[in-house]
Amino acid sequence: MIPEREPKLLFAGPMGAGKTTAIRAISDLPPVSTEAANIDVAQHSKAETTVGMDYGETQLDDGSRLRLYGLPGQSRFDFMWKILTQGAMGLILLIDNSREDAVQQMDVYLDAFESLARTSSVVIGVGRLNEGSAQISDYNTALEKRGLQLPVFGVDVRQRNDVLLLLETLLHQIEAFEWVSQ
Amino acid sequence: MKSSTLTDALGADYIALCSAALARLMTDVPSIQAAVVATADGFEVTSAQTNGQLAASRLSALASSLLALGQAALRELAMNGSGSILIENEMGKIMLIDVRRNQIPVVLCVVADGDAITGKVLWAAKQCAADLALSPN
Repeated sequence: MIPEREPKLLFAGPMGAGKTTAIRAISDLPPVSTEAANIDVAQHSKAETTVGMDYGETQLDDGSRLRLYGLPGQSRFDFMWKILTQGAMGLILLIDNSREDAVQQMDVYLDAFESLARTSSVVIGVGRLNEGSAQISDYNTALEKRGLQLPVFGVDVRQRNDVLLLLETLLHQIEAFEWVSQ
Repeated sequence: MKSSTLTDALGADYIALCSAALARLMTDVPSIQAAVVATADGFEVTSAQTNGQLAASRLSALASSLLALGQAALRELAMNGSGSILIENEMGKIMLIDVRRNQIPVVLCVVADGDAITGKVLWAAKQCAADLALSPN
């Protein structure tokens, strides 16, 4: 197996941001999921939540096969974050804009995945853009404050094409960073 | 998460049942050093331990992830149903059991010392899991 041809990519972000949904939307095979009954309804009202990981695969037109890992959103599962980050080439950070603290949430996850963010191997997908007060420019401002230049898109991760946009942008980012640092 | 949320979800009677089941387990098998009941989404319900060094909330989250991964592997091979996991080395054993209930599912995590007899721990843990599957009277 040539890792570059089968990159490992991560989906991270807070509970309910759509990580499992995104992998379901894009995976060529029925994804592996580890959902359990959610009792923390104060945090999010959804019935089930990922407690281990999601796993899916998708093949791009150029023949490369992407291995997609969805991380549990809650920080109590941060041991899974550490395990799954090993060998990962990049990360799609999904944010739920309907949360009041949406922009701060981005910071929390950029802190946690700092090594990937530092190598520009992160793309940000903002969901439910119309259901919150923050605009894309607010996310860009927050990124600038951190000295980062990362692409931010408004997305609906139920749509395969939106997820594909995030993945293709991420691969371009990774490639561009490698090229610049050579 | 507030502990009142946990009580609302599981019921105070069921939490008391869990505590009693763990106390019985610890008494019956002295080589068991600790036991934790957690919700399937990784919150500690109750725990018992002999030496007070265990971070029960961390172990709760780990137990729920490991069992969910085990379940995913079983499903992948069409071996449906609840599962259990044994992790061991010379220092000790960790036994994880999925407790299927009609209500909110829970998981049991049992930690035993290195000298413990695996079969004995396994049997006692499964008995305890059966107790946890009951509803409070």
